[in-house]
Amino acid sequence: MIQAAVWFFGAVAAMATLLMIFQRNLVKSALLMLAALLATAALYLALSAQMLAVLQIILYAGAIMILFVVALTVMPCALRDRASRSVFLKVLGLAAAAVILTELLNVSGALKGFLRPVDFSETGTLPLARELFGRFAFQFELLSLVIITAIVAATALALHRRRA
Amino acid sequence: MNFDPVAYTAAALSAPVLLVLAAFAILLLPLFFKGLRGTQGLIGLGAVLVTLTFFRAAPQAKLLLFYGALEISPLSSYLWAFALAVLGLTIVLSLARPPAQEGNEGEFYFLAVMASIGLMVMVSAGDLFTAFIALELLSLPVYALAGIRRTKPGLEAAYKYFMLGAFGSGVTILGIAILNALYPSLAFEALRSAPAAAPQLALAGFMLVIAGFAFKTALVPFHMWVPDAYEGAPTQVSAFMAAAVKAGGVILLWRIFSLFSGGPVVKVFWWLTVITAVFANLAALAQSGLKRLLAYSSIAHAGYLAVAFFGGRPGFEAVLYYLPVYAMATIGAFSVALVLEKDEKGPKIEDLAGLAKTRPWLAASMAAFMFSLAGVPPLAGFFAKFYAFAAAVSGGYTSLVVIAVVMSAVSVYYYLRVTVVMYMKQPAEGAMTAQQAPGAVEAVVFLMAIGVLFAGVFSGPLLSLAAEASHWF
Repeated sequence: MIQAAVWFFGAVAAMATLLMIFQRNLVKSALLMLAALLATAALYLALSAQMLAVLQIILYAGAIMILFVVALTVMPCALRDRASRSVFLKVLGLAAAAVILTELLNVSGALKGFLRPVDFSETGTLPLARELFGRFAFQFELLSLVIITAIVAATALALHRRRA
Repeated sequence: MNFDPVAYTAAALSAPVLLVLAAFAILLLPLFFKGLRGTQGLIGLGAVLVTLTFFRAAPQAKLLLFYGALEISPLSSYLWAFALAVLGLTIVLSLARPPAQEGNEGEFYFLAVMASIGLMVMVSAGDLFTAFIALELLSLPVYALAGIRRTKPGLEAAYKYFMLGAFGSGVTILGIAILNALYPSLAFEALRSAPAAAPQLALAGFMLVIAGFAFKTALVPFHMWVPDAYEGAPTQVSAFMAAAVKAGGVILLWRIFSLFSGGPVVKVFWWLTVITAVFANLAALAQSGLKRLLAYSSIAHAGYLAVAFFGGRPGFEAVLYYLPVYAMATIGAFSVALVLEKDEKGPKIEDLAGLAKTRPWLAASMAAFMFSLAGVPPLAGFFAKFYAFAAAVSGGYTSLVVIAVVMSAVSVYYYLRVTVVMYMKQPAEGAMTAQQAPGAVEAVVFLMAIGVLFAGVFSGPLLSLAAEASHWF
């Protein structure tokens, strides 16, 4: 069952990523990326890494996607952007992709030796929560002030533009 | 001495907690009660005054709160009182000359109070991680405050400051990540000894952290944002940046510096100090705008403060005396710029021509600030520099002090130029003929002038406070 889920979500993630790369429309591309990120989160869940799955959704599918969407909306010219025709850039991109692929294959080959069954206690949610609300409670609360300040700062700068 | 730790903790934390509450009151209350609109600054000022009364009877003890994240001691009380005073003066200046647009006051004062809370946590942070978050809490509001008017120079200032500041923060957090991997804890005490594992990597981590903090303190070559940011930001905000942001950076740099008794880090500091003192003073010679001149002067003073680092504990004592003395002179000078400013970039030095005739007291105060910044006795700036340099000499860094003294002599030229323009030049036709009634800004100017004079002539009380606070480091 778990094996099937891993294969299924893995396939969805890979498919969505490929479609994203070959998609010419930027908005569709962004949505396909969201699909790939969510499929990866489901993959983590199937591997019983709940914490990682939640972080993946909050950070990547949430915050980073919002960044992409905001960047697309504030710069409408990005939507009309044409793909670069430079052969050099394409070769450079392919070379970089090849390097990363070899590296990933190397690492996964090396990791094969370490394979072991994962049980729930090892996923680290509880220890993380203990640290976050125990030892690092002060820093955690301080960060909330940083975030609310950032929101107020952004609003102060953006609201004014609307008035003017 | 016996005291109740629980009561002490509550009393010590009441200052920042009250400020946080005040910040949210400033932001939210006027949304619900229409009568309170426009009074946000007064709420902030009231909170600052109430908070300042908390420091009267701080016990002589050091408390580590939140697993060592916060160190509460007479040292933190001293620096917190300093932060609150700077915030209070900034609020008074902003009440007299609103820098924000109508309807934006809530955000303006909220951000100013939050930045001060960031400064307070930063100077009392017990570990590098807390210090970094506090640094962000100090920086983020100031980026926005610099551009709060949304005019072209203001936005340029905010944008430059933000981009370079974000880069600086990235560098700092990279350094902290390296140190976190090498040391069991990020507490400053734990960072004192070199790790056995990888001393080279630890050095790289420290260098990145120092570069990030030097950026906030505006040491050359991390100073590029300063002139544009000070010039384009509202003058009240420039004053806050010069006094508060710099103080936070200096205290953090001292904490890092004091971990080392020699070696490459000290050498790097030596060079940073030298190029800061030399470059900033030479660049200041060529400035024609008053705010730009003060910006380069602030970079130069960061260099003099760094000289004091080399003096060990007496050096730190000098730093603690130097910070309020410098803050008084620079806030006073920026206030004079605020009185005279006609556009956002502030007055040119030439615009001060004939000020001695049209507004003699303002000119006399400005002269006092300039002489104090230059280090002319008996003003406080002289004693601040004297103690800082004397500490470094007794630490054995005579060549450093010689360079700093020479550059300090160079600085007399541009400070004196301002005074000469005020006293010797005739006012331009039609300039400054209108005699305005003195207001709150002038009150700040005179208060700072009296402060600069008294902290120099009667330097005893402030110096003994600084000495006492330095013992709790």
